[in-house]
Amino acid sequence: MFLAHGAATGLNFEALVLALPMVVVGVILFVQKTAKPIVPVVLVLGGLAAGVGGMTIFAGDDHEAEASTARDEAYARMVTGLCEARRLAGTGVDEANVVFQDEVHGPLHDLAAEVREADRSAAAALLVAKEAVESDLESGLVEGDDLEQHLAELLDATAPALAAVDVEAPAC
Amino acid sequence: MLSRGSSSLRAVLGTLTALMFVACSGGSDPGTAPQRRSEELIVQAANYELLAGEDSRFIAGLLTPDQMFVSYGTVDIEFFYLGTEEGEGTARKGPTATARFLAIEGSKDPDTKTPQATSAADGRGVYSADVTFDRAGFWAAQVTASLEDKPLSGRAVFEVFEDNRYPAVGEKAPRTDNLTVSSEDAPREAIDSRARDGEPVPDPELHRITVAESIRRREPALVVLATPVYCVSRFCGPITDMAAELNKRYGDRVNVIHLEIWRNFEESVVNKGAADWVFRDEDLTEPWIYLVDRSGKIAARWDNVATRHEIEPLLRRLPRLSR
Repeated sequence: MFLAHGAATGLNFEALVLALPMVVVGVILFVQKTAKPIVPVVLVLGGLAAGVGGMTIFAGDDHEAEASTARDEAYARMVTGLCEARRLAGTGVDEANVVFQDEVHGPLHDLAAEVREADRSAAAALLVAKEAVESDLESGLVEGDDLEQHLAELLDATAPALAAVDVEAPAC
Repeated sequence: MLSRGSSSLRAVLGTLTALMFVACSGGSDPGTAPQRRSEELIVQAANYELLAGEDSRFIAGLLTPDQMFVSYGTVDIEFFYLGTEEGEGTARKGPTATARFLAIEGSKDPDTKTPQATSAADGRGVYSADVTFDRAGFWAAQVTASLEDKPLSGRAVFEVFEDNRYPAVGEKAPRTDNLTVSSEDAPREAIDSRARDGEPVPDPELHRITVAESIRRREPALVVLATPVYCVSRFCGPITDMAAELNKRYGDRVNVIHLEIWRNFEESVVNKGAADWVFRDEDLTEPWIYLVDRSGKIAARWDNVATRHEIEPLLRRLPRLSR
């Protein structure tokens, strides 16, 4: 049952934490001969099985879960960065640019590449909106109001793109 | 007194316990990639096509574990040959190289010898090294960068090919009849993806002439295959803006020609002219820049990232055209 649960949820570190005490207790009981021999044998073998499972069978599932969480967190930070850049655009294009480059640019490209496979229309809208903002920032001549408008449009395009890859967009 | 059965049972348990701890210790096999530690670099090999036996420009982007760009200065790279099957084989030592930083157009590149962890706002680019890979197969690049006197390293695995899929140096360039500003039957955004919603084609001087016509006239061409709007690579930069600048400077020596990738992005329709160069086996890669000489042969090519620093020396050597 334990192994089945682990296979379903992708246990890794938890399996090892449980395995070690089982083995230790089993060895102690065996040396002290305070229990029937079958008890420490079961403890040690069970601990070994959990330990090996935690390191091999479940390790891949755990890495995939971690990668998915990291991706969702990166997209959430991206949206937060977009909100902040939009807020800053009205008062300072340079400040908005820094936030856009640091927090938004990279994950936005990753999202565009991912959405391109799932929903071309959402990807197209996202990329068009992105290009408008990047063009503003590269030209260096943009007024804060125009940049703020383009950032708002990019935010609008981001929500359906995230939905297309099953990620919920946080609100500003 | 212990019974013989109890002694045997103790021996079995002792052995099994020892085996478990040995399994946990994780010895390393010299032929496999090491597990990434938190202090290691993230290395992204950035070439679209590397060929065995040829002088190549290997490029890679570097990130720190907390996703800062590694920029400026130089880094050291050791290459290892891994074999013809990905994930198998023992690493065999190959060439070493010192890679220099190439800033993406519009990014900062201060004159500093040492790499730094920077934000994207301060510097985006790749590291470039001239290398010859003597055989086709899978290779690893082990990169070491000294950041604030602390060495960080990381590796990436990439493939070197025996034969080229994309037009290669020395080959005849495709005689492409690409769209130009005179192509009245084509949607404007198929000429340049920025020309949407009734907007004019930006940089029309980059869409005056076809590659085929340039070759017919025996004039060199700098062919820029890029989509200003629909680029998804993290290394995207204003490559068409760079092309426009190069045209201003060297347009009297070379025909700078921009080929937009997409006829219709939403419907996944690639412009035929671009497909001649960048679409192979259902796989599309961009951007690319090709320099075609007066005889119609490819003199140089740059994949994914291309900088003025690399292109201008070749353009300066070209004689002025008598038009």
